[in-house]
Amino acid sequence: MDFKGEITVRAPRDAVYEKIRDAHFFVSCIDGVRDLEEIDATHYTAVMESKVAYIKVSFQVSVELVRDEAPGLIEAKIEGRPLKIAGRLTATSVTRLEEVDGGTKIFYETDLSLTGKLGSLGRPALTAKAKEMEKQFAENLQKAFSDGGGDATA
Amino acid sequence: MMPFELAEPSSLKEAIGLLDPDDPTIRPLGGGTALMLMMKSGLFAPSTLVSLQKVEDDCRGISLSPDGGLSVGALTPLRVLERSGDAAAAAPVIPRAMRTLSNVRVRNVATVGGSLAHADPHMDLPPVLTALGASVTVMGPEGDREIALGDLYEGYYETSLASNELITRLTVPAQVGVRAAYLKVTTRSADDWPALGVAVALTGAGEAVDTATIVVSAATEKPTRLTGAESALAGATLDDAVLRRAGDAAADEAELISDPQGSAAYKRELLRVTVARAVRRALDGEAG
Repeated sequence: MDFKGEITVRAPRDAVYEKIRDAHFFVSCIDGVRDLEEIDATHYTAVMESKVAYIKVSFQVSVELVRDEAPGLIEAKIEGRPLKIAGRLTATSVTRLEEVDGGTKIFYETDLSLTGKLGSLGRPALTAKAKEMEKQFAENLQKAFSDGGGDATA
Repeated sequence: MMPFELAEPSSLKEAIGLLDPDDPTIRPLGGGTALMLMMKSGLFAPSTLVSLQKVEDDCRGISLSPDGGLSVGALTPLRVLERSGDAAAAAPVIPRAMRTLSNVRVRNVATVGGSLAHADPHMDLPPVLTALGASVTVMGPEGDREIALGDLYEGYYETSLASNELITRLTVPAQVGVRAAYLKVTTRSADDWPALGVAVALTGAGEAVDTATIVVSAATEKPTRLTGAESALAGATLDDAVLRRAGDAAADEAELISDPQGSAAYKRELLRVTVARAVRRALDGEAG
């Protein structure tokens, strides 16, 4: 499943890139992600919790930065295994930054797939949840830049 | 499967007392057909299941009111509703829809209340009952309240029920002059989870439509009314152009999801044609 969107922030592209390249900042914009650990400059691990109604699924995720072209593009590959259930999450996330009049436009796109015993019951529910998380991510990102003195518009 | 406690209260009040609004791992158990699948897949690991099988309150059985409304106890098995003469008299679309709802083994065990509370958008009854304007009676620690089916569903597996509330009764109002139909599209076996469900309830005479209620499910996160398609039909005399406009409006407005039954793009095209077919089927003489 593909999630994509864009927001515009009133901040220079270099500054936006620096902030988004900071894994701790980036993760702070994603609801349910905790225990971020930096393995090296391009590899990270974290725990991601997703809650749908009374069902809670936790994933141990590893993130690899596969492309880092300052100040315009960051691409990450994400792999995760749900704790307690056989299954697998894979995702590729691309963030592109473009200079626009008075600020920076952030394009983000995530291609997500879930496989394994999560099966036909869990997959659509978690995918629906991922869509909600994507909306929340955009809102958090906007808020973070607004709080930092910039203004953001979707 | 992880070990869990099984409680078997003899009254709804006792059952509600065992549920904890702050602990989502304590769940009520009706027939258990849906919950067991989730537990076997590892998706849900309860600490306690509160079985309602031994509850002695009056929440089994079906009755018809003098005005033609239908009242169904929440612990009534689906198969009993499917075979009920009262249900067939009040709203024949209900038993018709139920014949392809999962399979007869499931329908023998699953309960009406459980199937409504489960809130998997692939269920067949919620869109049908929403289109018919049905409501549920809900019991909680503070007493009873009524919830229209249209307000019950909030998302995938999510309802407006508190964790310590139970559905006790389903009420379907009298369907005076209503013609209704439910069409579902399955991409594997006929009794599989649908890729798309469309329920339609129309008032009007002949080919003239006064009001239309159209509810899509399975392809959406919850049963969802398609108000644009409804507007395209309301006050119209049906012909191919009107049906096409209604299908296009439905395809434009619905927020569809991909799942193992099909992609969102595929379901959008299914919806476009299925809305028109469901309307046509309702008009072709299928009362209620």
